[in-house]
Amino acid sequence: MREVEFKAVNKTYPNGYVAVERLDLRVEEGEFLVLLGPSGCGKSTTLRMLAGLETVSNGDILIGGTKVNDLPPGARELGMVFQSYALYPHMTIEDNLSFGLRMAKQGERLDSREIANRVGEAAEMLDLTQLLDRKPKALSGGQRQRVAIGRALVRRPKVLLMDEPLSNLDAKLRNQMRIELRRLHELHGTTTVYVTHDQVEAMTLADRIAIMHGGILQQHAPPLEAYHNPNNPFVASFLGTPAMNLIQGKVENQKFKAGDLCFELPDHLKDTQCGNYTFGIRPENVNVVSQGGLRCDVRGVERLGDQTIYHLNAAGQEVTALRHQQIDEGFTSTTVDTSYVHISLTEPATVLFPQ
Amino acid sequence: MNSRLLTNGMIDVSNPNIAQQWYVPIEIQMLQRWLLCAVLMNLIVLGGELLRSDTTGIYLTGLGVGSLMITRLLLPDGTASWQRWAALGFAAIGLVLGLVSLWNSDLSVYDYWSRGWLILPAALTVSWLTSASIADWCSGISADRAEAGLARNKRLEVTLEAVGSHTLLIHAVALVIIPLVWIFDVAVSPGNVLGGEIGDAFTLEHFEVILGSPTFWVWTKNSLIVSLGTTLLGLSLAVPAGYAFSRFDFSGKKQSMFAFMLIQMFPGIIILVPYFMVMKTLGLLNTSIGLIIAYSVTTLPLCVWMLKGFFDTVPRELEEAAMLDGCTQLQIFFKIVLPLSLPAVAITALFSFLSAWNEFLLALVFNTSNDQFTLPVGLASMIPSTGQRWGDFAAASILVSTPVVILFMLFQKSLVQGLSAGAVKG
Repeated sequence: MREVEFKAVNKTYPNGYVAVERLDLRVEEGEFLVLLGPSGCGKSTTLRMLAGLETVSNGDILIGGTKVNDLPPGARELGMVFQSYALYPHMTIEDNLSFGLRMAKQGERLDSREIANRVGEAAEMLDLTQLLDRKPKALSGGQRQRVAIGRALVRRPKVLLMDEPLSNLDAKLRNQMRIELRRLHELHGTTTVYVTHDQVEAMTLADRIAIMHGGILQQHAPPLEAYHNPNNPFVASFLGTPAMNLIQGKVENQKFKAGDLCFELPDHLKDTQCGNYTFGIRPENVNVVSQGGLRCDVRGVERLGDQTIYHLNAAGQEVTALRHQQIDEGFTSTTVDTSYVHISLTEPATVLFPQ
Repeated sequence: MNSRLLTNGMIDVSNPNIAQQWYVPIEIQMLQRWLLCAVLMNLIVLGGELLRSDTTGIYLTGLGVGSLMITRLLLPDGTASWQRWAALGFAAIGLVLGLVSLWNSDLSVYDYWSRGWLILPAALTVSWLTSASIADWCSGISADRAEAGLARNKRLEVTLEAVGSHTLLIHAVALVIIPLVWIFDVAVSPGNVLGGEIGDAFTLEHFEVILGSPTFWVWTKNSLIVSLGTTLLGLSLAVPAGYAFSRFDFSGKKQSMFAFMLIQMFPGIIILVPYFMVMKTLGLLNTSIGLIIAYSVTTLPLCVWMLKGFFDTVPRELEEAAMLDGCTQLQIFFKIVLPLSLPAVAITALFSFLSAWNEFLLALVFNTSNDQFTLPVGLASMIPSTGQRWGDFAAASILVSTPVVILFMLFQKSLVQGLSAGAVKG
């Protein structure tokens, strides 16, 4: 029983700032949940409440069906990886790894041989065996990161918590550690709650992601579902680079109108009632065609090698289109040779959000 | 490309004469600074002459300062060649005045030093202003030569700056060293007198007297008890207090921190009388405990502030990690925070120890019986109004400061770490 449940959890700071509002969230046993959102959205506060480092203002947090609101952090049987790693600078790597085991209560403490076994096992798994008698100062960023993960795992926690663990690594190491983290998760199946603002980490690591904004949960779904079926314009614009095209306008007679821009709604949206809506389509579903479709002015073109991003203006509305580079598309050219292009939409991929 | 686009209104970079515009020989740049320095030093010397009421000295030094000042003002700027001759003339006058003044003096060390500050700068100015490179520059210089001159400036600058700054630094060091040399000389000179030539005789008799006197050892014991007691009591209060001020929020926190600062602003003499009355009531006069309590209280505010400052730099995440590892608040403090704060604790300990070791006023007033004297009070008792024992006093002073110097050397590494705490995070 290692699932986590938030029941109507609120966090209000003494100065009146509401960090988390009525959060209902369930993390199943063995699930890898990513809390995703921009800074200040309440994701770290949520994690810290689960860890017991922040008090809960209202509502209940349950781990394995037990209410843990008032349990001290050490009693919750959690492992946590901090953004700064928070390794104990005055202890060797071995002592860092074993510290939690040595601090366990008298009755629950493992004997020293078992502790050494566990530490050796963790060191083996994370490739730290050679470094056990060094101090954290002598380690590289990636090695420190692995020690931090080892320290969290060595106690065999019910839930593993990670607070932006990869944000202090350089891009290459971050990619490696991402794969490593997923591998570790598949190996141990530890229920994991992972906080990040990086959508790539969220998309690649998560079984499900919980996107937060302004202290409120926006959507809780598997990554691809959130990507293709966003609940609201915030989720739509937060997931994906470049961001989803969002155009505010209104629906009249099965047509979408925004200023001078007016087009027929795709078939699956035809039944939409009249009213104000935000129309959304991802850049990769905007096709650049030579003829037909909608004529747009070209504002700028970014050629990234494997793909090309077009910044367009369609009758006063900003539209971004993303095409994968075709070899016959004049890939040697770096200048804009046309002042306008035609676009068509991949219709099933369009969404409408009521305003 | 139009070169006008690159100009900033001051310098036209298309100007081929840019090197000529920028080039000022390094000697001129140095003289501008050094002559100013020499003028200031000579004003100090002039003050000395006024105190000595030496009319000729005043006259000569005054004229010397004047000529150096005028030389400084007339230093050539490369626009007119007459400036060089004028500056040269006044520097020569300064040189002559200095030589006359030296010839006129008693030729003591002080005279060589004070006249040197007139003669050497003036001589240097004369020799540099007559050199070929300056003469060249003053009468207009070609672009090639100016570029070569800029390169030469770069080469010479480091050496000349080192010479200049070291000259000043030697003066600063001498200011500190000379009294020490003096007291050391008194300690190893026979007889109990002040003054006399430095290093004219050598004896260890004063050290023998002091080390052989039982009272000195009683005072040392008292000082050690009081200083160590103060350190222990002070730290056992300041460490938890500093931690609490750093980590916890409680009502009155800001006010008490401010009050701690406020206490530091009063001179010790103000609290002397109330302290005395408290100690008298408690029967703690003429005891070590009385002094320990008084010193701990007076050093506590600064210790708490210093430690709080260090605890503030210990990342909170470390404590949170320890919490998740199952530590109690006390375990976090003893196993994580305290080991990390050892440099700060060491410097605070040293600070308490030293302030207790050197304190005079409270010790003098509280502990009036000879067998309760601390070292500073004991030292003072050696020079009563009758029959000063200067030699013994100097020897004892050196013996008293030795432990302090040794402590500083031992703790040097931690001291630097503790002092620079907060600047860098581990």
